[in-house]
Order: sequence, then C-alpha cells, then structure tokens
Amino acid sequence: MSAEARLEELRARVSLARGATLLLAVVANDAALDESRRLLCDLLRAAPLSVVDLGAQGYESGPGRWAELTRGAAADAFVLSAAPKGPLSVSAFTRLLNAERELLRGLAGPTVLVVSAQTEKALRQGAPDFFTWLAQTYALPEPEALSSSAQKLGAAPAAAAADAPAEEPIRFLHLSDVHLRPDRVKRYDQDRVLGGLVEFLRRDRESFPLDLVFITGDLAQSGRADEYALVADLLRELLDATGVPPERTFAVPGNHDVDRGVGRWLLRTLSRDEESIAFFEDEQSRAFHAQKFEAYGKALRGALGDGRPLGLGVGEGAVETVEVRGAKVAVASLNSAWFCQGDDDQGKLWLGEANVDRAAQRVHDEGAAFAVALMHHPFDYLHEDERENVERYLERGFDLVLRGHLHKDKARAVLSARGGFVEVAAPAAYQGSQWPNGCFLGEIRPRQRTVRLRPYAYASGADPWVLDTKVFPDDAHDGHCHTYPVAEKRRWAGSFTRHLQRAAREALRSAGPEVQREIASQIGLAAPSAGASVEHWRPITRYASSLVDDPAFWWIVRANPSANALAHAVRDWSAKTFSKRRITTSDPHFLEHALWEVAQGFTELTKGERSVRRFLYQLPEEHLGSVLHGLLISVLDGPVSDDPFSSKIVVGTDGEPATRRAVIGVRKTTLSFKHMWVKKGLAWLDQQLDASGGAYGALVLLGDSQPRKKPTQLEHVKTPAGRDVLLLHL
Amino acid sequence: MSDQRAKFRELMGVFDPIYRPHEGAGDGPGRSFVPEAHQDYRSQLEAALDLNDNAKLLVAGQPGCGKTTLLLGVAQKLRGEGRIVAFVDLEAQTAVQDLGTVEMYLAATAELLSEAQAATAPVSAPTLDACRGWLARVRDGDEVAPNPHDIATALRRHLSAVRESRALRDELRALLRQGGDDPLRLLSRVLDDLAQRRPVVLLDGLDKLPPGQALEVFLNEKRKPMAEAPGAAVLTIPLSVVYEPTFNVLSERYNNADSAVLPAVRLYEFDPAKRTRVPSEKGALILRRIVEARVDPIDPNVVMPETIDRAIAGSGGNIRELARLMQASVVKAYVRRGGFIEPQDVEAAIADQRESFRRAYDPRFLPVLKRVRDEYQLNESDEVVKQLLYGLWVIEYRNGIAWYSLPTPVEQLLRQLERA
Repeated sequence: MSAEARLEELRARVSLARGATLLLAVVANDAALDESRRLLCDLLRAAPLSVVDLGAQGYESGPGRWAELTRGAAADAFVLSAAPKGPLSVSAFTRLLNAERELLRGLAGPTVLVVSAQTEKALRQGAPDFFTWLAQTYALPEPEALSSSAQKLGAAPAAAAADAPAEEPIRFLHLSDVHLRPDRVKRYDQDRVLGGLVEFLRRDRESFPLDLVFITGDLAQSGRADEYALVADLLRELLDATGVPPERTFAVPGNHDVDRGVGRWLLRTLSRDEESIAFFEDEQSRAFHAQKFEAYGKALRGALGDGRPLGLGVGEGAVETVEVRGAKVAVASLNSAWFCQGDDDQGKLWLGEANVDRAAQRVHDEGAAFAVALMHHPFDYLHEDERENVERYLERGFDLVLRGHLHKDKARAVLSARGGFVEVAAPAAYQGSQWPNGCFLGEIRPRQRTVRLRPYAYASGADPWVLDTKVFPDDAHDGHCHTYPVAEKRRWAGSFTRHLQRAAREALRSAGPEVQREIASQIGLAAPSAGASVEHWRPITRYASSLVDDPAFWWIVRANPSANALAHAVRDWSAKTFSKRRITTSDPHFLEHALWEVAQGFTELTKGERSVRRFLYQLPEEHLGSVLHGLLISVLDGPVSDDPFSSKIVVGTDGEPATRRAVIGVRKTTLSFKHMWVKKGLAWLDQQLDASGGAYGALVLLGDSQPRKKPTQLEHVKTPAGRDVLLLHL
Repeated sequence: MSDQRAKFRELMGVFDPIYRPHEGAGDGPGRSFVPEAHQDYRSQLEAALDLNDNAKLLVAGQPGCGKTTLLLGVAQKLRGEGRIVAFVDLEAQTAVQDLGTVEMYLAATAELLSEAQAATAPVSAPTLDACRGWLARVRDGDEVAPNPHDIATALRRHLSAVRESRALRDELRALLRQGGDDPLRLLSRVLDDLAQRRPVVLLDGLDKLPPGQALEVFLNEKRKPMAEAPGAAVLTIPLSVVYEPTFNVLSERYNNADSAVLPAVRLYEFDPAKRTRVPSEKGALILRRIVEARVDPIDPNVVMPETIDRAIAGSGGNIRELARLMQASVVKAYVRRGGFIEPQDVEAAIADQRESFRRAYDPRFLPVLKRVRDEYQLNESDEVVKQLLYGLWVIEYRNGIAWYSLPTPVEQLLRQLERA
C-alpha cells in the first residue's frame, strides 16, 4: 500500500469511527514526532473533522489520563504523541499501557497516538494486550513526504509546513583579520577597501538582510588603544550599514589584538594538560594574561556592550545565545590568543579542553538549535597535547566553527563519529589592496541543518566588492555559493545533569542490591547473584547513572537514602550557578523570603535544560522534597532537614525558639484532586506544627505534568486550626 | 453517499473490538450477542456457582476470547435469580499495573454495597460502621453518612485518588502493614451480612496484571486473592499464570483451577490418530453467527458471504480478532468507495494484519512457529512461546491434549519469511 493510500485509510477510519477507538501512527524516530503529529492534525482537519491536538504526553500518562484529556475537549478526533526516554521509562510506559488498556473505552472519540518505531517495538514486546485493543497501526512517512501527501489529500498547507521547504535562513557576515592601524600612509588604502565593504553591505542590505556578524580576530595590528579607536569606528559604521544590533555582533581576539609589550613578561605557553586545566578553570591564573587584552576588551565592550564575553570569557561564560526568528543560536567566543606573543606561536597556543567542553555543555543546556564557535587560529596552532581533543569537543558540540589568521579562505564540512562541524576560515578582510581581501556571507538553516556560503572579494573599481567566483568554481549553477550539510549532534549535558549523575551513583550505592537487581532486570542486563562482589555490580551502577534524566530511575531508587544525594546535587548546582542572598531565621519573614528564593531557583532549574524540566515534573514526591531541600539549604542559614518519607522539610531544631522554626510540606497534585490535596495538606500542617512547636508552616504544590503557565504564586492561607501559613504553587 | 457513510459507521460500531453487548441493552444482552459461543463453558461455570455458594472460580484465556462478555452474561443470569452480584471492573477502578489485593477488596466492597442498596438487601449497622471507621482513618476524619450508597461512593472516590497517586497507594499499603482493619475483613463482613442473598463477586480485569505481579499475587503470596472471603467469586486471571509450572497449587484453593482456561472458538478439531486437524463445522458456524448477528440488523446483504469465511479463517477463532478484521474490511470498502464488503477487502485487511505481525516479528519466533506448523505441539513454559500465545501469533485449542494452530496472517508471514 502506498503511503498516500495508507493516510487516506487512516483518515477514513477516523471519520468512520464511532466512539472510543485508538489508532497507532508510527514515525521513524522521536525527532519527527511533533512535526508528524501536527501534520496529521492538518490531514484529519481536511476530512473535514474537528481535531484537538493533545500534545506530547509523558511516560506516566496512559489511557486513563488520555481519556480524561479527551473528555475535557470537544472534538471529532484527537491526536497525541508519546516519547518515553530511557529504558526505565520505556518499560514503565509499556507496562502502564498494557495494564490500562481497558481504559481506552473512556476515550471521548477516535484518537491517534503517534509514537516512534522504537517505542512501537517496545510496546509490541512489553504490551501485547494493549495491541489487541488497538484498532490499527499505520506507518507514517517522513515529515516532508507526509506534508506533501497531506496536501494531495486536501490538507491546507499549514503556515509552518509551507515554509518548511523554504526555511528562512539566518544570515551572517564572517569577517576576519582587519588589521587596522592609524598609520597615515596606510589610511587611504584601508579606507578604500573597508569603506567599500561597508558601502557594499549597505547596498546589499535589502536583498541579504543580515542577522548576525562574526569577527574572528586581528581587528587591530598590535593591540594598542589608538588602533582600537579605528576598530570602534569601523564597528559603528558596519552595524549602521547592516542594521545588526551590537548584541548580535560577536568577536574574538587574534594574535594582533595582543599587546605584546605586556605579554613579554608573561608565561610563554603551558607545557602540560594539568596546567591548562588550572589556567582555564581558575580565574586568578588568567589574570596576568588578561592584561594583554585590556585595550581590545575596553574598545570592543564599549562598542558592542558591557559585560559581553567577546573571547574574554571561558567555559559557559564564553557562550551567548540569541534567538533569530524562533531559532535559538548559541555562539561561543573562544580565545585562541591567550598565549600569542610572537611569530613562533604555532604549537604553543591553548584553547583549553575544559574551556571548550564546558562551553559545549552550556550549548546543550540552553537547548540551542544551532551552535557557532569563533576562534582566531587554525587547529594546528594549538598545543599538540590538546589539539585532537579540542577538535573532538567541537565536533560534538558545535555546528559551525569560524576562524581566520591565515589570510586564506578555507571551508569544509567535517563529519565524524561525534557529529562534526562546518569549518570556515575567512580570508583577510584587509591586508593591503595589493593582496587579496575578502569575506564570507552565509546562511544558516538550523532545521535543514545546512550552511550556505557566499564568498566576496575586494576588486578595485567603482563597485569594489564582488562575488568571488574562484572560491567555489564548481558551483556556477548555484551562483558560486556552496551549501554544506551539518552533522546531527549528540551533545553532552551540562552542569545540573552532571550533579545529578553523581547523585544517582551515590543513590545507587546506598540503595543496595535489591534496587540494583530491579534496575538490571528492567534494562535487560544480567544481574549478578546475591553474593556477588561490588566489582560485579559496577557495570550496572555505571549504566544506571547514565539514566539520571530518566524519571523512572528515581521512582525505583525512591524511599532510599538517595534523598540526601539529590539534595546535595541541587545545592551544589545552586551554589555554582544561581547565586542569591542568604536569609537567616532571625528574620521574622524568613520563610516567605526563603520560599520566594526557592521558587526562583526552581524556575531557573526548569528553564535551563529541557530534559531537566521534564525530569523535575515527573519526580516522585519524596525526591521533589529533596530538590526543594537542596534549594532551601543554599539560601537559608540554619539547620534544615528533610524527611523524605513524609515529604516534609523542617527548618530549625527543637532547642530553638518557635519563631525560628518552620515545617514545609511538599505535595504533588493532580489537576482533578488539587483542592483535596490542599485541604489534606493544611490539616497535616496543623498536626505537624502542633507536634513540633514551630511557628511557621508552608505547603509547596507542584503539578504533575507541565510547568504552570501562570507565574509562581506565593499566598497566605488559613489552616483548619486558624494558623496563617504559606502556600506556594510551582 | 452520506447514507452509505452512516451505514458504514454503524458497521464500524458493531465490529468494535471492544465488544460490550450488555451496555445500554436493558435486561438481556443486546441482539448481537451469540450465547452459543461459550455455551459449554458457561453452563459449567453457572452450575458451579449454583451448587456451591462458596465457589471460588478462575477464568483465564487469550485476550479477546470473550472472558468479560462471558462474565457479564453470567452476572445477568445470577441477578435474574435474585442473587447479589458485584461485577467489579478493576481496570476502571484501580491502577492495574500496580494493583494490590487491598484495592481489589475495596473495589469489591464498594460494588457490593451499591448492589445491596439497589436490591434492598440490608447490611448490618456494625458492618457499615466498620467501613466508616476505616474511611475516616484514611481520609483524616472526614465523616461519611451511615448508608451503603454514601459509603460506596466514598470508597470509590478514595480508590480513584489512589489510582492517580503512587504516594497514596504506598500510604494505603503502609496502613495495612501497621495493622488495623483489613479491607478483606470489611469485605467478608459485608458478604456475611448478605449471605441470605447468595452473593457473588466477579472480579474482571485481574487478567491485566503484569506477569511478574500476577505471579506474585497468585502463586507466591500465601493468602490467595478472595480465597478466604465467604461467598462465591469468579476471578479472571492472566494466561501467563496458567503456563507457570506451579499453577497446579492453585487447585487446592480454587474450585476449577484445572479447567480455568476458556477455550477459543475452535475452527478445527484435532484428530489425534492422524495428528492432523480437521475443519470444525460447529466452530465456523458459531463465528458466522457472531458476524451475522451484528450485520443483519443493519443490512444483511452488505457483507458478502464468502467474505465472512475469509475473515473467520483469518481470525484463527479469536472473536476480537474477527471483529478487528471485519472492521478493517469495512474501512477498506469505504476507501474503495464500494457498496459492499467484498472478499478483496478482507484480503487487504489480512495483508495489513500480516504486515502488523511482521513489524512485531522477532527472529526468536521462527523455530517455534515452524514447530507449531509441523507438529501442532509446543513446550508451554518457554518465554518465547508465552509471548506468541499472548500476542495471538498462535491460537490455542485444548481438546484433551493441548495443541496449537497458526492464524492465517501468521502462516502467510511464515511462508514469506521462508521464501526470503
């Protein structure tokens, strides 16, 4: 059966269906899930049917929950998708579906569940009964084919579907090696070339409106302040001509941006990996070298914005994100010139493995659709101890690496086991009109994952900047532009996930063999016998610790001493990432202030890594208590203890006056039973406060699936016994 | 055309694999119900319940073979005799993927109280007080009026909260461990009160327990579900339990463990002398009746007679599978813009079914499937075999000795696999 016939049949089935019917639509992979679900809705709407898109559902949401959702929305048909991530969640999901299959009867109408082929396979193996209840399974084509088939079957081309083939690109300018100097003789030549460039960009603005500007070093000739006055002028003109705001202009220093007069007295290079780690991890150790970039930093920050990294930040601090037409682009400004001093730099420079790794993690955490790394030097200028590794981190984390230095254009797509990137070296934008001068204009398409380059060169004359046909001689059919594919990425998670992994390992160690055996059995590993040594358990511990963002993991290790590990992970994260004021319990409003800070911290946690957000909302109650406990100990001075078994946090100890003590209850609520939880929770608070003698109480409520649309709310409520307590909705 | 669509929509409705003939049908089952399907088994079950007021019976069977339909029929008949019947749909009331016996008993108690109220059978005041006391404890002192209806409602409400929240489930179990009123004792008291009306508890949905948990609840646990309660009870159990080697220990506690498996409708009889199968007229007739009973009120001519035979062969004798094939054929005919359900539609539906099996195919299946085809015999305790039996790859028949057969789509798939 052709794909179209299949889709037509699916639609016929939905329109003929009476009452509760579940159809399964299978797509190739989880990445295509959202797009396919949307297209499927369009297809069904063209039937015509009224369709409600119930969105992506979590692994704890099964037929019972779906039925509830469909009953809450009036429509002819419903579409939803599910993508349980991680083996433990997959196994929990399949068991749930198998068990709850009879609840499919409660669906308010025909419903299409969209899953990936991988999930389907797991369901077939783990939920055979569920399959006997399914009306039918349909394999969906890839989103592109689905979109065109849907249109043939009468679906109106949806707004997003229509521009899918012609994704509006993110346009950028890549300049490098400008070498500005206030030399009077040079001045005319310099102005002729660069003034021509600015004019060219001004004229080109209509047909090629720029979104981003990247400058990869050597803006000045010898890193002196008088040169940077010219740089500032050039930047101003450039931004004025292109209309790109300063915060979307990025730069890194090159070897000519270094004040060699200062550098003469400094360490020439590092000799070992350990030194590199110390240099890039510890701000103090970079303090002297930072002086070499004083003029550069002052001028550039003056022109582009105070506090911008511009190559002077390291690790996560080197990364900035901008949103261009809904696509999040991360830009890491990496400084390869920390150790530049003379003409013998080759092999002596350090970018810092730790630096690049942490920048890549930040890119992951930000959930960027596209990541650009800027640096000045080619890789072979880096010290041989780190060269290979730096490239590998870039392969995993970044999509486009822009550089300069050699005054020679070079562009290639690197495809590696870790992903890969497109490396673009811009020619010198100005090295004297008797030498070639050039730059690149580029187009990034994050969804299509391509980078298209348009090379330009200076040619003397009335219209000095022209398309350089020599760069891509074989691409005459495409206007001498070349399109590079960008490899898919599997970025590594950053800060919070790392803390979590440590917590997971600790939790497992303390949880004992039963829990480990359960995990082993669920992920299909052979569990060692009861008496086996620690050695035999190690692979399982190691594997399981990679499952931290699989919320089902925490359900399994729950009710174990894992709570502390989780609280500490949150505290460590909080201390490093989220600095805030300290609150003492002598403050009469300490609880209110502390909870407010906790809410801020929680929001911060949930808005970062997407996986973390999902993770937090699916955590069991007792672990949620630990997360809040972790946040609380990072803001509150004074003893705070956590009782995971009753999801209770206690502030203060018995010896302290009542006004310095409080009890906080943590409750997960479901939509349908919320007031019941509040009522029960407040009565419980009364009991707890009576027993402990504390003066203050609070109840923290968290929904079970999605972050609230409404802002965080902290309100005063009365308990049944008439106490005034706080109610925090997260 | 819209007329045609209405007719096809109705056909889709009657071939819904989720078949509920008793729903909205008043006293008797709907007209589409074919009592012959499990006549023999049903009369055995009814006889056992009639002769023994404390009968504890088990019913297992492939998904879709008609367990729930059978139990609903039995419930109706017993109610007609004036007995109090609590039909407990555990799936609708509890989190079956994490079901403890506590929830089972609470759901049964709630159902019994409602039934008692409806049948004006008195439940003693001390029993009601015990239920209220228990509720007050778990609900932090909320008072419930001392009448069966309000208590049943409160119990159901609590169960539905428990279904939603793991924390509450754990709390409930912790409560039980700490001692106090055991929900089984509450249930027993209610059953004792109603003894005059010969109460029967039908627990449907227990067959949805995941295999591991089923093993735990029925085989490893000392206190077997319902075994210690007074009155009669029928429990649906997962087929996976039946295939466990220790299944026979249940025969001491339940009255029909040896005949717990509800057979599929037999399409073939096994000839032990020749070790071959011969088509069964009777089975085919029953399945034909099942299709006709559903189609006739709509339009007796809309499904061509040859079509039904093809669908029956394709179903392998599983009633839900038959409904599914018929439903798929209706869609095929509709998309084709045909006026009748023709053999080509069933062929296309079987082809889809085959593709669906192919998607689920695992190389481990091949030798077992080959063995089934060649010998009609299997080693039951094998994990792969269980998976095949449960996923309807192999349709099982019990006829003195156990033997097996493959549904048509699986046989076709097997042939294709061998050719490839």
